[in-house]
Amino acid sequence: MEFLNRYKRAFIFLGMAVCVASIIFTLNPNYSPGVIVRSLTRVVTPLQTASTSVANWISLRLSLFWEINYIQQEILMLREQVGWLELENQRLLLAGEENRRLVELLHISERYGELPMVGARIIAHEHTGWRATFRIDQGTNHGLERNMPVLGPGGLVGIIQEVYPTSSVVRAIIDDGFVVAARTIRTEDEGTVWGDGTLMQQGLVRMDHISRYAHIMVGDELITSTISELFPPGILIGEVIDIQPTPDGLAQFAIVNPTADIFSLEHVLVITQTILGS
Amino acid sequence: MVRVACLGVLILINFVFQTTVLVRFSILGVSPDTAVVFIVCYGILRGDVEGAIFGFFVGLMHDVFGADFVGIHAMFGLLAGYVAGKPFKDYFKDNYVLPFSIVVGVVFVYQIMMFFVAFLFRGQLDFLFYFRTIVLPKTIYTALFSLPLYGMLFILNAKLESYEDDRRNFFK
Repeated sequence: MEFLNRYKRAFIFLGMAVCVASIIFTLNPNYSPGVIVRSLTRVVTPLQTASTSVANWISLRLSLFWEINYIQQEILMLREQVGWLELENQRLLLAGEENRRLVELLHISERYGELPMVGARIIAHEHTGWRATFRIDQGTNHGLERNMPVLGPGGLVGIIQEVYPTSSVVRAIIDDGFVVAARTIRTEDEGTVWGDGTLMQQGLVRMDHISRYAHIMVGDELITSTISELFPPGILIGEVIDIQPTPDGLAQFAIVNPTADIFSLEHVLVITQTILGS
Repeated sequence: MVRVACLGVLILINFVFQTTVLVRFSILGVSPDTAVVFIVCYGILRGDVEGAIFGFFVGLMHDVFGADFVGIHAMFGLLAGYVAGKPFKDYFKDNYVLPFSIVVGVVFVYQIMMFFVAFLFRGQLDFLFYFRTIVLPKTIYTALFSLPLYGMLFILNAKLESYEDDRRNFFK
């Protein structure tokens, strides 16, 4: 300790040099975590799982007291909604039957249903305000790999960024730096959906590179495009809520509300098939 | 040795707590950064060199589990601990005003540096937006945690110091 105190400056500079070197060393996108990190996750993951379970349990019990009036109203509302949905369901059953017959007619297999999926539970949110990533309790032991798409109730949630034996880190769709090729269902206009830091806290994303002549409208639904290298085509992404021309007037961009609510997720599905690998 | 073990457990608990419990109490989309509070308080209590070492390991923990690349939080943690421990000899440790103001200052600078490294270099130029929505709320929210955590760490440190003194006397 006296030695360190005597050469304080040199020590601090050495520490910073080590940090800078490790940043440069790990900037490589194909960087994979080493043995030390992997063994550390074996310690931390169970702790996070336990902590999340306890926090879930407590918040469920507490919310019963706080939200009882709200829950009663919700029950009444839901009853009414169930009635409407039953009607809707019958209509959709007919439509589904018709769809099945048409699909058979066209010899198109249903891609969405065929994809192999694994369920996973979110055990920790590692977003600091600057990033939006979360950790799930499945890893290489369960057959997960980097760049596998992650779905939530409603649609696309993110992509697996790092995998460890018992857990993996998912980059959420709203994270600044997330990119996916998208197209509108109605008009089949292509574009790129980005996570944008300025929209992250509202849970929105941005769609860029839309042609100036595209007839995109508020309310259009977006799905992953067939030109995407990482995502299977046809996964629902979200709904357009605003469209503006870019400042140079050469293209348009849209603000998109993802169908899956990133902030209230507890369980997700991972598609255990990478497009590049297959 | 006991000190290292205690601090290791502290780092681990803080990390687990921060990523599973504190994110549930997000206000305006930001959650408090208790790791920086611990680094600063430890620097205040034990001086610049130990603060820097502690900050390095706390940052490393967060790097390894969260960030795209390893080293950025470690470097900021090292600097934060070093800066916070600079005026170590000049004031009383049980005064609460100075830790509070140093935490505010360091968290503020820490967040702005995060913006520069994580966003500005990638072409996100809207500094005022991020300042308003992340840097400022996060600084205020984290500052609220500084006093209870400083009190906690003060007691832990006093216990550890008295334990180390006992051992020193034992061998004398």
